[in-house]
Amino acid sequence: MLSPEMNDRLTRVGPGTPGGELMRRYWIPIAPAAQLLEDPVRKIRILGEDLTLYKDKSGQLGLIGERCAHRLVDMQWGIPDEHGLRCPYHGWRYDETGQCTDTPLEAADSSFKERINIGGYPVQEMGGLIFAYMGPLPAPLLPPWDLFVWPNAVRQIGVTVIDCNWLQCQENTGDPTHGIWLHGYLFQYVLEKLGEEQRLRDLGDAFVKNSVGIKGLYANNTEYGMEKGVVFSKELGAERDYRSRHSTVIFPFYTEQNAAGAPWSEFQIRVPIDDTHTYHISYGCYAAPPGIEAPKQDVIPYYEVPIWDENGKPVLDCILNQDFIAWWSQGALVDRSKEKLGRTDTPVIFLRRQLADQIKVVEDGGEPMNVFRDPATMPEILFGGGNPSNEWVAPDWVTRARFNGNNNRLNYHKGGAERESDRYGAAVPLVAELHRRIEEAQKRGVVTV
Amino acid sequence: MGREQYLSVQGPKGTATVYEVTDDSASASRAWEPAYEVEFSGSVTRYTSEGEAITVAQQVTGAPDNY
Repeated sequence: MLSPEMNDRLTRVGPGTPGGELMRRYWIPIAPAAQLLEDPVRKIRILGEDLTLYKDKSGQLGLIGERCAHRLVDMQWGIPDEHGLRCPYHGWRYDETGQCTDTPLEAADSSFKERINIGGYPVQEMGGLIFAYMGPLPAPLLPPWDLFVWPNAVRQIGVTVIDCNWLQCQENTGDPTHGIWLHGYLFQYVLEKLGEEQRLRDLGDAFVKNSVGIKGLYANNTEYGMEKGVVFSKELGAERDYRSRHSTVIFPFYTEQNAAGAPWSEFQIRVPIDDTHTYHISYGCYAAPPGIEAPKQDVIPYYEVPIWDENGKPVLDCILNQDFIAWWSQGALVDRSKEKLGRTDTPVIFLRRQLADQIKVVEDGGEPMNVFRDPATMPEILFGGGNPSNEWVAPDWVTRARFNGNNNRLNYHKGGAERESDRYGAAVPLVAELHRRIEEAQKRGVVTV
Repeated sequence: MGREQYLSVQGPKGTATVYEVTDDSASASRAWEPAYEVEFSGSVTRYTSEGEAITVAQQVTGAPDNY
């Protein structure tokens, strides 16, 4: 439960809000770079600000104000110039800082343009995504989180606009047991209704079995965020006493499923568009095992994950979409003063406190976690979820397969990529080709399973 | 064992205090697994969930069902 005041503090992201000021300390992924190949000028709304993203003819990226200063025409209809973006109405041109650099119909000796600036934010590209920094300068370093830079992998980027506040999406990561129902019993119910008997058999009790033997949940800080999981007890019916670690949070808005080097790993990035909309990025990374070359990609493709089918009904036969509907159905901005948290919400409470703590750090003039400024100490790859498990990056495919073979979602040899929301992505054939190469290598004895 | 006041709930039947209890002993794992206690009319009851503790505090004090 949160007071209405604390709820606002954690969720609202506009300029000048406590949460918004925190968010403005980070590089924020705002679009797949591939989108600018289709159209080099795009309207972008992020942290409650309306902006224009463009790539000019020289290849320079820019993120500038929404409207031309002249007659307030929307710059999303602008014309990319060799250097900068021109307003389509009278040709006023702006560079990536928002500075007006040309007013072609004004007097030749006019200094008017020098007095005009519509604002601009730094942008950079990494791993097929464009990142913006909207905070106080100088901007920090863009962190090379592992999935963005892991070599020898196929990647694809799923994007979705969800009509709810970003924290509802992120809290999903602090909730390790929701899968029992949302991805277990609901999934079974949906597949039964669809008559998908084979999928129902494949799903089996992969998720619902985790309802047995829960002793409690735990959470703890990590270097880059938090991790959490479920404590299972043999005495309560579990197969043995153990702790099951769930996905990792990379502060402030990343979730990492698995880790770099796994056959399938994913960032789920919950980018606040504004207080009641989230730009959800599913960043899929399908790593090749040692000895296998992943198919080359000139461009990391993007795809839109549909929430609704052609009949206006929610798409519920894949895990990510089940999550989407749960977050959306909580309401545009859930009133947490009315919730009743159960024991399974311990990590959710932890996640909120970490967020509240970091907001306070910024308010007190400090630097929040995961802001990096020293290039000399920045590694080439940052393992946000912690150092990858040996099971994920083991040099032999046998060890990896043993880990990944027991989870229906991870076992792409059984068609996971075709069945999950990844199926909408353009890289799925490349993932299939990667697996064909693996199987061929297995036959040749290059890798063994 | 750490015990911090988490919430005070006032209603027509009195005031209940909700505490968050954590094991901060040296031997404890670094994982955070809190419990919650409700103190009302001299008695203390422990719960594993925040929501149940607050709901009990609201019910015993007759406070409305909000924060």
